Amino acid sequence: MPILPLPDASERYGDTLLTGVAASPGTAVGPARIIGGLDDFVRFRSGDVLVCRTTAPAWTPLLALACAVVTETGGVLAHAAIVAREFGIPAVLAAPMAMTTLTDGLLVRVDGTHGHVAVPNAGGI
Amino acid sequence: MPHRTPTDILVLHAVRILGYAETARIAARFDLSVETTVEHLLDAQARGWVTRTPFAEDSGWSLTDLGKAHGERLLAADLDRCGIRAVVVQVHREFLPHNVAVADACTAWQLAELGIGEAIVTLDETTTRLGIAADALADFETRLVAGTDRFAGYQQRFADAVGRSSTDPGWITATDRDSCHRVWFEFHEDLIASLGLAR
Repeated sequence: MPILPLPDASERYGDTLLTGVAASPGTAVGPARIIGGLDDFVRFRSGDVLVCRTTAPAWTPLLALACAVVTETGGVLAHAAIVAREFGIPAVLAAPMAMTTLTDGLLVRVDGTHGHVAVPNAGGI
Repeated sequence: MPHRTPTDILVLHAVRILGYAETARIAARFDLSVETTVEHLLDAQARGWVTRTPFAEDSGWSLTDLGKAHGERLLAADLDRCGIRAVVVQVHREFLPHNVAVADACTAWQLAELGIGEAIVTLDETTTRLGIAADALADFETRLVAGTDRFAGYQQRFADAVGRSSTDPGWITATDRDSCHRVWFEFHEDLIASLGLAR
């Protein structure tokens, strides 16, 4: 039986919206929640995808509730990446314009293994 | 004798560096009484500097954007009062390469545990790298505490975490205890807040 090449992320998940650094492995689907600062924390719900510029210690409870995290800055060594791996959630970091490309509430699939954020295929996968 | 930062600043600063914490932990951070801490937290809440937020099954205090900006102004004035701004700037400069080394050691260990790391990483190697950072932190803390005592305690907490890591690797990056990464992250936030820098 021939070995088929692995389809790329766009084929598997639908349109790729963002590409960044694959910082914590795994995939998750959830609504994007754009968090600009501390005052936005009240809008965050369990199972949301945390989308922000960067994180600080105050953001750890959000990471604990998030199904995935996407940041505009950082990289594989960032504090956000270390905390995401600790919580076992996918992380895509250094994804330019993440906070403006994604819209609040948009259902997205975060692939922290390959560093993609995409529109989920029908059925939310 | 080192400068003692006023209590209202310490309470606000404890919320900043802990990020999100309940009252007892905020009080313990600078060895303040719970009663005094509650008083200052309620005052700060009335002024819009802190907010009490429920998360999952518990609740805790965190800063508002207004409180973050106000705290940085208070810290800046406090730093100038005790005359150690130049020391903090220099320590922050020297801290940065160690920050990369600590993040790299934590990351390499995590990736190895996940089975996706490129290099073979041993626990001994990881704790040795973190031990080098602990030595640097001791030097930073000595210089900072000579000016203001609010920087005291990081080195002991970090060294304790490194020591525990050698038998329980959870102490390297766990978020539910004073792990190496958590203490280091807190120290970094302290320097950033003190100098009013952005990450």
